[in-house]
Amino acid sequence: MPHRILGDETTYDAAFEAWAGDLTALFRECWDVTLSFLVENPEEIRSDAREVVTLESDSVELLLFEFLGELLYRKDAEERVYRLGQLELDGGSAPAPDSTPVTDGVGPGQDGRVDAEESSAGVGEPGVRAGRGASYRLEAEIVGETLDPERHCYGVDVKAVTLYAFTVELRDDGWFARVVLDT
Amino acid sequence: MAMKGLVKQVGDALWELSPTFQDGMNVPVRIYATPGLLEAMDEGVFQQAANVACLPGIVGYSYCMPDGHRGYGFPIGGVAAFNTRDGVISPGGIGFDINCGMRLVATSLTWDEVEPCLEKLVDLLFERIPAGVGGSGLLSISRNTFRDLLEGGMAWCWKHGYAWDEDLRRTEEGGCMTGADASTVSEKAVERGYKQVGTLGSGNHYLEVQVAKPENIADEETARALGIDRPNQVLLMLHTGSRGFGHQVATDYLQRFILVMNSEYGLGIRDRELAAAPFHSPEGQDYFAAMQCAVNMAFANRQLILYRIREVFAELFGKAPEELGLHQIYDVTHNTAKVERHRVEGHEMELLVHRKGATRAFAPGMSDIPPEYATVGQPVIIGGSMETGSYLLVGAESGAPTYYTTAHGSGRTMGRRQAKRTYKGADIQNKMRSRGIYVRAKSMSGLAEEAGGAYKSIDEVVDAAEAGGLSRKVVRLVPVGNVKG
Repeated sequence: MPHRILGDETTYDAAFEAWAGDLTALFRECWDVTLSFLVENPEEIRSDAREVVTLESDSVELLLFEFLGELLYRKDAEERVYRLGQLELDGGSAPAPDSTPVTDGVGPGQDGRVDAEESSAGVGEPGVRAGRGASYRLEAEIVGETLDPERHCYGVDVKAVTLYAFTVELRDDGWFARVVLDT
Repeated sequence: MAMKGLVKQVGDALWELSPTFQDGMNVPVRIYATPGLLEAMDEGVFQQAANVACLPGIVGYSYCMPDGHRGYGFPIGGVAAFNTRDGVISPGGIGFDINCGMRLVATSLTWDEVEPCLEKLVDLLFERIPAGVGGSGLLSISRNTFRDLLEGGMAWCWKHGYAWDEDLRRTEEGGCMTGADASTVSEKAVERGYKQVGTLGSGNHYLEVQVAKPENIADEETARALGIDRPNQVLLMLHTGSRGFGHQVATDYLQRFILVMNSEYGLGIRDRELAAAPFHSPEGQDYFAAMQCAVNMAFANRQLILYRIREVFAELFGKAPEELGLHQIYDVTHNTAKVERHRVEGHEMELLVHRKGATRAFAPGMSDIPPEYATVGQPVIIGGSMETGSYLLVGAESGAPTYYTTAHGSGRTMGRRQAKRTYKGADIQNKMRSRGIYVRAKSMSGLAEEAGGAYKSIDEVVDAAEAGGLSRKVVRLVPVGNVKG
């Protein structure tokens, strides 16, 4: 699954763009990249603990924001690090008929710059909404273990997902996300 | 035209971007910088400062300090004051790491006395102070006790024997913002934070052993008044914040603000990270109370680490911390919003001053300065990169235009990824050792990210702040030992 770490051209702590054919794959990719900032050898994470995370939102952007935030929260609250197992996401294979476009005005980032602030329009609530009365629902199986400095090669402690330049959108060639993390 | 080309010099180390730059700007942007620092600033700084100038209720100017660089929403180094009557509060103007801040601690030891055991000292500090990803802290407390700590801050630490009287006096706000209300904090935030009190964290957070060399003292009388009174005195500098707890508070309220700012309050903003609510709205007041909980948590976090530092020194040198002169010089935050009274265009106003990567720098004689520092001004602690050095400054009367605010650090010039590709942690560690700086780090890649070359010149930042009248140099401190997360 493709992704691109942003960094050479910014002073952000950690940022990336990801692409996928469907939303489920996009969410998976976004967590895998976030995890790779936290732990440099994620393949070493054992499956000692198994949990299920269920989230709902009428905005696919807020759903991704909450999903990544939930796993970061568990890193501190449970002192565990998780990989993704089964992931199911309903309601978002395509924008619903009355969907609102993403209003950030964030361009495709051809030069890799994160330039939400270059938008001339005001921005508001998150875009790509499910149809009226509908919602996106995510159920993720997460498997992992207690953080262990002896075995996990720590990278940087990612502590939050920012809304800065945060984007989830359906493009001609599939789903796209841009995520800037705070460390 | 590049935005940088639109700024006009309006004073010593002071530049202005007119409100005509962008529709909706309520005030101009003012940037404190030398020509060199201005040139090195990311274009995004100018745009972000202009976006802040569009927020409702902003007064005076949207400021950027000399160490400014592009952040999320607000620039790092951004300062903005809002009329408390009709202005807003914005978590993005405070930062995720609420009350990320600096603490400077003196010792009565000189470098000659510490040098022979430097490695043992740094190793002990590295072993005893939790650092790195996640991590449990020095306290084992219940969630309810943590809620008490959130409302009490350093007063809680004092009550439980972790702080000296003078520690509270020598901390901004006395180490406790009294508007903290734990009922405004989510269960998730409590769950995330209650085990983290007394942890250093990672990234650019550190504990450093430093030396005040005689040739680096700019103002001997003020240095003496602040407790730096002997040649080659050893000091300790601590940089950390509210850990995952503060991030959870910020995340919770960003989500809450996003849902109401347009629908309830009709606030149009240019970047969702500038999500805001009217200060006196229920959402604004709840966030302000929760933010104060995070401020207090961070004060307590740094206090618990100081408690452990005192234990380590007592063990290593076989004397009580009091005998070793382990007196806190000051603790100051650089990520907050506070209600203060300042004069704007000749009128005294009650303002909510947002400082994000910017340090309060009250002038001599102002309130909320420890009595022993009343004649010299509030100490300001500016952390540089781990390779270059740091500064102790004081506030100045000429700092009134920025609501008595100055810089907070060096400011990055290089992204973390680029730094990791440019430097190797082990090489940095060896190079620093050969220069007499002993470093222990939980993460070698994290060490590479913090290489001195990834930061602006701390000297130029401090010079610009002084030239702009924001603060006054007292002493430059050089690193000899460093513990990193």
